[in-house]
Amino acid sequence: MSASEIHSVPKSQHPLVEAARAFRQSWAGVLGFILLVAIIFMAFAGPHIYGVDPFEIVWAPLTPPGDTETAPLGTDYLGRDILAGLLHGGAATLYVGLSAGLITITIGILVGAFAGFYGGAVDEMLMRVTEFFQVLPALLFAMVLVTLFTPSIFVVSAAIGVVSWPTTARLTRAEFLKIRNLEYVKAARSIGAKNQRIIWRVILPNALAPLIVSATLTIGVAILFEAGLSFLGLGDPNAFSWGLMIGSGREHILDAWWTVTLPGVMIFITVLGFSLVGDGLNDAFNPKLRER
Amino acid sequence: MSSLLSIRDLVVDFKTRAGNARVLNHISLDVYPGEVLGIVGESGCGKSMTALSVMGLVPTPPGKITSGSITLGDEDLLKVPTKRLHQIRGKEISMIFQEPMTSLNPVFRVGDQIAESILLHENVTKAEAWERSVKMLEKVGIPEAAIRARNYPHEMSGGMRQRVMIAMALACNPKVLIADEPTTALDVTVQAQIFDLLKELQQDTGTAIIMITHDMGAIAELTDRVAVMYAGHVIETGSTKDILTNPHHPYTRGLISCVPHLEKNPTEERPFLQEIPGVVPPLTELGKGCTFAPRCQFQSNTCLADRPDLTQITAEHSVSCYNLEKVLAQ
Repeated sequence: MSASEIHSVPKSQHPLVEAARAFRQSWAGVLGFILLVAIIFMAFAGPHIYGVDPFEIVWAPLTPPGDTETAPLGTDYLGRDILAGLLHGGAATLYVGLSAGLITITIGILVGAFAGFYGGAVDEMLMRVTEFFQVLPALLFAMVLVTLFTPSIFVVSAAIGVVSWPTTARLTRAEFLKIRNLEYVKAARSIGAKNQRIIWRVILPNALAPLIVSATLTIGVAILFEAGLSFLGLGDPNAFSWGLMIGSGREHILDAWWTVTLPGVMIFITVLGFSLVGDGLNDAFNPKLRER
Repeated sequence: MSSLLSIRDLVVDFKTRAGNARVLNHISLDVYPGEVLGIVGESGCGKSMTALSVMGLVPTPPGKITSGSITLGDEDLLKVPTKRLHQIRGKEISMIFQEPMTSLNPVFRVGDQIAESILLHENVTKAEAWERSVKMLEKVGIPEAAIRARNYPHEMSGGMRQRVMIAMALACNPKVLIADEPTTALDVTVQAQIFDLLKELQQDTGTAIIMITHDMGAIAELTDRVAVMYAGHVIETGSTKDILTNPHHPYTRGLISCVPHLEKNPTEERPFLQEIPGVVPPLTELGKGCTFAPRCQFQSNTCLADRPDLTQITAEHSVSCYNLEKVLAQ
């Protein structure tokens, strides 16, 4: 063997490391990433820098932005500081988005993996259950779930997770159906790997790329969902979220635009950030797009 | 000598839309310790299915092992519990596949994949398994194995990946290695390297190899004995020398004359490239007679009416044909 003398051994790179490099070349992904970092920084450092309690009444109600230095972005219908609300609301909104996303992904992967791997009767049964959840109007179903229990931030996340997993399950199932017949799965069997090992250690790592993309998008959708529920008055009244701000300001949309528009813009930026990151990841994981 | 692996009267059926396809029809084969058994035949004649049956990897459904036995030592692989089967695969019997480009998991380092097959069967630490996998890579002729072990499959060439597959399959010193057309997807030069490697390792470790191929060159180069398969039947078995120099079955003769001879001048009766007319019949439409009869120049009424059994003609050589005299006279 003289191959080593002719050309040197290439530097080894994990596929994820390569994907990260491709991600850095996607402007959408980088922009989204910057937006998200800014939002996260604001949500967690903001309350410490600007130490006003969002529930506290600081000035006259419905003061427009710029009228007073006490509340630079104005006040809502109770006279609470909008800026404090924006800073405090981020954490709750992100929390709901992330935990609902996590629940969605977990249920979706479990159901999809078993359905796709085992096929046959298991697949039939799991897919009928999935379809049952898919045909229910999601927002209505989530409203029912939240009303059944006390609307806490956890119940809201769980309700969003429970109504949105079918898409992930279908995606996972499709990936598993595709991968389970590939040669390296057969090869894994032939060295004596058991089913569970093949599902989680052989197939899942290879199915992960589209699932990560879908997870980021799911977080964005979950944040919108939370805003929707809060707007309808079904959010957690004790957790200050952007959705709650929009919900409490909805009767003053016409006479005090800042009470709903400002938290709306924050939600818009956050969801945009997650979507752009999702786009960037999609490009990064798709080798066909990399060369462009 | 008693056989290591013994297949007896194995019948495998596949349910298809066109009806029941009997992909393996009462085949019997023996593998002796330390030998290389070649299984040869056209595509779709049951070579790979034989291998998958031994590994217990026949896709069920639509496939089904209807009857027969596959004995390794004193265990019938068709009857052992799944748990035991997991222990046997990789440890007692392993397999290398046709497509080195797709038979390694793209998201793990090759060293980890070899280590995995050790960790599944032996009680060793991860570090020990890694060390052994580097040693295996050296053994299969990968230069700078310690560095190469950290590579991912896409960073290697096809020949190298097939070497990795071989390392993976041999990591636990199996008694039997099944090589399912291990060189079909590779360049001719790399093919020769892989053959040499297999031969070398076989002499080193004494692992018995079942070599599945449709390449007569590979048969000549590597095997001790050959089984020729056609449409789910074993139609001729014997030592490689017997089969290559004194083939009895018209199909075997056809296969051998399909290899172009550079040194001989082509003539009208013996063109440069000969072929066997027709194709392997659909397995759902096999008649009562000899499966090869429709393509056979020696076919007679007996051939069409009844299927010949595999009959011993010498101690080692068996063939299933009614018209041996006519065939040998030619």
